[in-house]
Amino acid sequence: MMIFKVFKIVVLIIWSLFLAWLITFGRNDLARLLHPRLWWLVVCGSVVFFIFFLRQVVSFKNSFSNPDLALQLPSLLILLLPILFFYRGSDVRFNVDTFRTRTVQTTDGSYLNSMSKQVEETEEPAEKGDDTLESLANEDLAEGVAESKEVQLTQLYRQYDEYLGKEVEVVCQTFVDKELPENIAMCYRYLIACCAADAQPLFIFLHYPESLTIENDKWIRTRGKVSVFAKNNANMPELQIEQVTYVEEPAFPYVF
Amino acid sequence: MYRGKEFTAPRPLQESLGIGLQIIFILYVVFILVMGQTPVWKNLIDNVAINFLAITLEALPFMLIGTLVGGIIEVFVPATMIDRVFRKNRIQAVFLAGGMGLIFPTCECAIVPVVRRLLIKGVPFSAAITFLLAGPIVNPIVAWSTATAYTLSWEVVVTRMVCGYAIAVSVGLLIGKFFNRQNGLLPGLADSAHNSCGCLQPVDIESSLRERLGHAVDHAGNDFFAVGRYLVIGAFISALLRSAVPMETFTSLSSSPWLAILLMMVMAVLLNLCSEADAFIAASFRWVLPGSSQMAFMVLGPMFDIKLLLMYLSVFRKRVIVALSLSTFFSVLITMLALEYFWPGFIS
Repeated sequence: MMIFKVFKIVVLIIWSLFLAWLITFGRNDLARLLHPRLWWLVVCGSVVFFIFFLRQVVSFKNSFSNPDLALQLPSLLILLLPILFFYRGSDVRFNVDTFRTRTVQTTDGSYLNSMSKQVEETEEPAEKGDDTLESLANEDLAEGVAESKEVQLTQLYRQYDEYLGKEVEVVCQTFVDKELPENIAMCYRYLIACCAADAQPLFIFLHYPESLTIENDKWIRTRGKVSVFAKNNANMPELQIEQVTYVEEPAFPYVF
Repeated sequence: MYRGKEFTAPRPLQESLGIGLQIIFILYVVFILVMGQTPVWKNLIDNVAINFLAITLEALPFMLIGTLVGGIIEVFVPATMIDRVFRKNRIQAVFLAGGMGLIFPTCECAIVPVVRRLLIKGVPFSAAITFLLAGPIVNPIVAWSTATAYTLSWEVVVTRMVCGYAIAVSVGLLIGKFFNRQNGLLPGLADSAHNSCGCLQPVDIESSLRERLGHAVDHAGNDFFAVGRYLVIGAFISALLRSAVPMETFTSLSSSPWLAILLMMVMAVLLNLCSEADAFIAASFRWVLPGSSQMAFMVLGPMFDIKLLLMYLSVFRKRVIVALSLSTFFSVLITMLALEYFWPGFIS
């Protein structure tokens, strides 16, 4: 069953080379699939596939089994399907549809995610805007603070009290939805624990002037003062922005 | 000299069915890929592509490591050691197997090849089942990821570990009552002697280290080709569901705790998430669903999901898979209902 062994060798070398390419020249693609903390797995996988490949080559003539090709060939082809999908996966991105499927929309059209509860647990609840779509600008804290800097969304989300009233800059994707209140858009990035499959949208709200039009599903860099967006007994960060700059997707589109 | 037409036995129906299903799967995946070119399907298929690749890239290396560990166990661990540790007292072996993950942390993608080798090596059936279920939960890496996802809420971590251990031991003991190596394993595995899987040359005890390593790699490679396709099929189904089913589908149906538990269990089976990552998804329901339902998701997922179910096909007979699935599912359900009843405010 020489042909079967040849097929196996081909599968092994394709996988080994594919993983080796990902970790060397394909890092931009890998960054959209796997948490950098787990990139060693790709190296490991490539090495193990290469060892399997070498062993198959060395023991090419010492086959003791007589496999049924019709039975084994489909399973070998199945092993190559993920690589076939890479042809498509390398050009695609998570989009607004992903955002909708991975968040929970409340009956009044607002969106919620898991981080809101964590924020609520660690912060004093807002005094105003109990269940209305009202942004709370924290005027007191806003005074006298003008320093601006780029902040990770995770940082802003988890320690937003430290940024209240301060001007910060964020890079994120836009989500514009007619269900949201007037002049309110959302700005999000995906938070991943291991890989893109577990990505959860982490979002803040953008309060923009009427004169500004924000395009949906675009990467932006924007700057504004941090305030609180209170909704459904949960407080979330909001930026009071004046303008946005459309930018390229970052090398690492996710936050960790 | 004319020899006449060579006689070939007809292919068993089950085998033909297996080949047919695999071909249908390949054609379906290619069809999906082609449909992704059309504007209507583009967004969905884009999501499927990213999820499918991401799950495969994360799971496949873990599985490869699992096959290597399995190969090393096959060649280097003497059967006498297995006898000494596991065969003296089978009940004790089950309790021991439930905690083995603490010493040998193994994720759910790697566990099947490892257990396959342990069974070939002679580990008792019930102990192997227990390790299969408990290994991906009762281990320090999963404990840490759970703690991180739940902002160092140690009651969540301890509850997950304890529930995982208790359910795995209970199911292991139960399955061990009705099944053994002979009636539970696939014929090829059940017939294996302790020192050889039967697919390769037996390893001589006096073989050189290089030869033995070579044999270990051979075993690992064979395990990869035996189990790998199930991982890919499972990853694809998971990616499809992850992309097509919105989170709202589940949250909108969560009007009662028992329904929420059931829904989260179904979601755990469908999503096929790695046990390292599932706590982060469970935590995303922290303010939406009761704690017991989040725990149900975290306990059932590493024990029983589509990917694992398909990988089990490379080890167990179908009746064992059915019994294992049902007993695991209902054990988790009963445990979580009890948790909800006795500790309603769990994970507030």
